[in-house]
Amino acid sequence: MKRSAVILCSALLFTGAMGSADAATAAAPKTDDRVAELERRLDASNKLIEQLSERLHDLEARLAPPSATAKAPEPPAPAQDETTARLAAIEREVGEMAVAGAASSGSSGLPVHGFADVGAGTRGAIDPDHKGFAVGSLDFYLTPELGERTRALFELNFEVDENGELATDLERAQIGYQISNGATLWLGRFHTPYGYYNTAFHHGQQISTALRRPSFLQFEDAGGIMPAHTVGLWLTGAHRLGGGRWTYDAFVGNAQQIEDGTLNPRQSGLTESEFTVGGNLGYLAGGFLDGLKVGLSYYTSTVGDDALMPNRTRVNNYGLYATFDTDRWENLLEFYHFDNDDLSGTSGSHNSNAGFVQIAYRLERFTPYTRYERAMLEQTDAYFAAQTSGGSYYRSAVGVRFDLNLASALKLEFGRTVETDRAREEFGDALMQYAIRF
Amino acid sequence: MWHTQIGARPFAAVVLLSALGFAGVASSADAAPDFRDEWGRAIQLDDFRGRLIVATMAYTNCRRACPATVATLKQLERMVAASGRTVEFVIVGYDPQNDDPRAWRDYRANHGITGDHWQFLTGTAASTLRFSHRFGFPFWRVDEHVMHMQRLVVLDQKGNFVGSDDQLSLTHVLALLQKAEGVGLPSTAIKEVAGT
Repeated sequence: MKRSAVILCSALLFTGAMGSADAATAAAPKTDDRVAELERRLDASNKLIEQLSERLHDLEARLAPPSATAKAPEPPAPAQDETTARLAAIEREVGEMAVAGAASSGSSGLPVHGFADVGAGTRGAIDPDHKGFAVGSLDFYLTPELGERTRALFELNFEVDENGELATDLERAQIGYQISNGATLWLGRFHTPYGYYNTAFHHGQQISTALRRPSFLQFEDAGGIMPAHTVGLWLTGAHRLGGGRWTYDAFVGNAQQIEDGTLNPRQSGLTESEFTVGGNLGYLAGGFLDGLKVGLSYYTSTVGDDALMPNRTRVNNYGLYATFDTDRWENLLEFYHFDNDDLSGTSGSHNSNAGFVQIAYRLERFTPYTRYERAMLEQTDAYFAAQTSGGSYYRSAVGVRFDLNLASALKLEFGRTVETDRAREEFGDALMQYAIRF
Repeated sequence: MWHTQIGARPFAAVVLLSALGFAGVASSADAAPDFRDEWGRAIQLDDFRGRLIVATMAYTNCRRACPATVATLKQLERMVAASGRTVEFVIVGYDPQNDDPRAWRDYRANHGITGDHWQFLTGTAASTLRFSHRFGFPFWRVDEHVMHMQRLVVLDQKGNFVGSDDQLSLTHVLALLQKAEGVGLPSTAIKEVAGT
């Protein structure tokens, strides 16, 4: 059976081969033409393959790591024919795609950025009762792209509290609509637009020159005595006027409540109708005064507390600020005056003041700075008396920031703090911070 | 109880006036050109065809990264001028909302930029994004700040992308300009930069 099959197959193959040979012989002139045509096409294909190989090699060199691309690349071969021109066009497109792709690598449609910092000190940057090494915060900053006029900003902050436990805060959650180039309306939780510092610098330490915020301007859960965040409606914008630019803010939001010695922005809503209303008007100079900004701010609110005999205080805060921020100088001055009324009817009106001045000078990667801050807060004012950090103090500090690159900075600060009414304590501290953005 | 106090009424007026007053600006913005130069003239990137371009992005309130980028471009300008050739330095604003042509004129004056071959462009939000995506300038805003990188992009006379540099390396940018053909920088210029 097997032998028969082999013989049959051999016969078929022989017959087929002979038949093909006969046919080839009969069509010899036509086949020569076809072979010649095929050879021409093969030559052209070989040339194309060689050119593609060269281009591929060139592209691979371009897409190589920086150490390789740092070498001067070879100039492109001059265009010789249409194929070369087309290849050059493809190369350019691939090059653009590569550079754009590399720049946006990691993007998944929802831009996720953030800040983080760690540090060490002889006392804690926020809590002076602790010392040694400490985790600062991990601050996720989400700005989804929602079209040309819709804006959104979410800031999710992870930090370690004084007990070493992880605390999570949705520091900002605001969705806005850009009415025009000069007006954006936000709804949600935002940084209250008083003075300059509170809206210019946020939780990410990598942005700010100094290692820490002025104490009285700290965030609520870090001992701040002013409502750093407001949950409400905020209109903000700028409008050019002559050589300068006016900036404005107007907002209304939930009144804060003092709970456990800390201001609570009450982001889940109110049980009564008490609001904070305020605004900020600034002028950003142009021309040779470029970098100078001056402004005024004001807010009023009715703030209650959780004492056994609850107090209600009408807070009236007047702010004044001036900044001079240039390529070299970063000088900041802020002053606030509180004119508070005790609505509970027991202690009357109270006047308190707080302010700071900071001078910094940028020397390439180094930025030395100095700051003086002072808060003189009436302790008979229930608004301050009910707050854990409501005591008066003054502090002087010197420090230096060193930028390792665009995304990371090392900071060193030496400070001296004097508490002038409650504890009457005086202490110095040395702090180091390593802050990044990503 | 809502306490209507000193500031409430003026602020309500500001809200209303802003919403009404700026509404017209919003509708006219749709017809805005892709870019305007520092004198407010409408301009397209195609208008630079025929010229070699070194392009970057910046914003006028940037106090750390952008000044270093501009300083590098000024150094590059001197190197190129020494060869007797010209290159167009095109700076596209990251922040068109704040950086209008007037702001760029002030910026030029305050940074001592006097050359004729510098172009400071203000785009629309859309054209700014298109430019940043096309040439790889990722950025994000944080309040008054713009987080960005330092990148220089070289385009040839036909507007084609030639290459980019993220280290502010004059040597690399000069090599890219040579690749773009036409600058013909003397080799001594590159050696001089490489030696610095």
